Amino acid sequence: MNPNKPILLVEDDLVDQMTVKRSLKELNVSNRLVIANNGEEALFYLNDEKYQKPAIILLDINMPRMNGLEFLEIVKNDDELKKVPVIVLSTSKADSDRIDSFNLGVAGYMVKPVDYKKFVDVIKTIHMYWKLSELPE
Amino acid sequence: MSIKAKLSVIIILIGLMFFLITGFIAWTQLDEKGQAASLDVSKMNKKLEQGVKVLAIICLLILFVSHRLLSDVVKSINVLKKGAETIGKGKYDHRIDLSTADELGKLAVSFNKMTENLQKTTISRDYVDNIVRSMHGGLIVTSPERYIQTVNSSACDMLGYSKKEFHGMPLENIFANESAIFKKSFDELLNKGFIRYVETSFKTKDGHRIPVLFSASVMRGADEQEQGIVLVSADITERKESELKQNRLLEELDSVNKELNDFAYIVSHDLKAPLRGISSIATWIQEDYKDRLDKDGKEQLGLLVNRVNRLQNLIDGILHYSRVGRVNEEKEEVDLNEVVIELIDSLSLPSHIMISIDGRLPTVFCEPTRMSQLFQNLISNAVKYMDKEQGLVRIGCIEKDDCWQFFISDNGPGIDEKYFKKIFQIFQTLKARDEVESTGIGLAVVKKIVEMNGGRIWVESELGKGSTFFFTIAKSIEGEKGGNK
Repeated sequence: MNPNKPILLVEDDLVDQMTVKRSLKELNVSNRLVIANNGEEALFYLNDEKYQKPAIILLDINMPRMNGLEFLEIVKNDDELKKVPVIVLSTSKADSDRIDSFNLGVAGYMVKPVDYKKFVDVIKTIHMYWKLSELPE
Repeated sequence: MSIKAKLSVIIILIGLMFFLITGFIAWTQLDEKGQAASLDVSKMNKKLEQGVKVLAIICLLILFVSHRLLSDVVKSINVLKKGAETIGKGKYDHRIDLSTADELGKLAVSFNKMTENLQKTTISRDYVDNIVRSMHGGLIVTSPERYIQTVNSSACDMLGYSKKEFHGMPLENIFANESAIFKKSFDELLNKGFIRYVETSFKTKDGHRIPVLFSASVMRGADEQEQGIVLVSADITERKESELKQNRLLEELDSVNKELNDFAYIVSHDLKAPLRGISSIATWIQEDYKDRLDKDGKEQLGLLVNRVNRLQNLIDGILHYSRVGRVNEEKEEVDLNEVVIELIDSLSLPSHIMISIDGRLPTVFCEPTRMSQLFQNLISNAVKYMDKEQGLVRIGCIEKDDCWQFFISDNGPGIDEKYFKKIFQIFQTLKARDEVESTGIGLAVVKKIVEMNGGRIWVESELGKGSTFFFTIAKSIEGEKGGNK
């Protein structure tokens, strides 16, 4: 994962945004964190030429205006954007959400732990994996 | 004596009578010419008188005999006439009582035989008529040209036409469906010779459509020539209505189930999201303000995080409990040895606890995940509450007539008899939650799974010595009752 590319977090919950931000800081991840409050904002960011495309996208499912699955539907039909790995970070353990997400080509599906320490572990795992994995430029 | 013979005798006798009369007249003429002179008138008159007397007697005799002969015949004819009239009125059980040996007697015998045949035919026709009349289904019989010939009253009641109105109506007229469907059904009928239980709609006289189920076959005579079509139909309005009602109920059930799922989803997301927030922030305060918090503050924050986790577990538990029985997986043959061994491996048991399986566990037809859950909850309980230095947990199964009876026993603290029922109720725990963290859902889930598999669960225990949980799983398909899809 290119450390110069940002990580895009699509998340509506302020505390969850803080949690991810804090975790990344704790893990000394140098990538810049860009936060979009819902799918619409995220698309707006991704489609704007003046912003750098993110290295990975961390995506919540339940969000106002445009939820994670609706966002995925659009992103995975876009030749440029579909190359960006999307990792779902959701509260939902529902089978339907998992199935729908993987049908829409997500790179991973993590259930947000209640416990902050475990949350950090989840972010750590994601970061470690994508630090090693090669990505298309 | 036959009538022919009787008539011959009569004719001969009449002939004889004419002959005698003619002879007698000729004799009196001769006598007048030849002997007129010689004989005296009185003598001659006397002779004549005698001759007339004899002749008269003979004639009377002949008439008497002829009358006697013919009166029998007339009597017989009267008997025949009366009998024919009676039978003509429809009294087919009447028989002509005439036992004479003549042609009329024979005629009577033939007549009786004919009546008997007629009676038999009539009885069988009445019998068939009765069957047709008593038929619950509507019967329609057509000519080879598909014009309605015969119907029964059920058909009349069903479609609102009278028998007269039906007669000669093209069969196609009663079909409410487009002629294409009619044609398709009838092509099949003509190809195979019959069609069975075709669902369609008939059109009544007043234009209503009624759903029917009909079967039809091509009727053929002894010469294999087509004689028409026999069609039997049943009005299935009620069945259709109950089907509709059932479908509606199923749809409602579906939507309620969906609502429940949505509800579960909302609960899991919307209740847990703020919980996570509370938990995270409490942790951050613990970390960030470590230096500024005193012992009490730290302890209170610790309790806050603990309660948040407990609420999280309760939410998960109640969602889980509600999912058992609502969300079903496919049943399959499950080797419980594999399930239990895999489970024990995954539980990462503390070293002071030993689990043993008595003999071999059976293979049962069940939902694998549920069954694993069942054993997991019972084994976890045994492990969680273990108070002995050397914990022993035994798992086993006894085969009964109609079920498998499993047991999971431990040498833990045991349960007081008065709680034997209570422990299976949801949210019931015997220890304070701060002592042993528990939601009180595990055994409720276990009970639900067991009951869904047509079994029951109970516990036997002695305080201080340990507990044994028994549960049964039905062997037969009966156990599937609860597991409806």
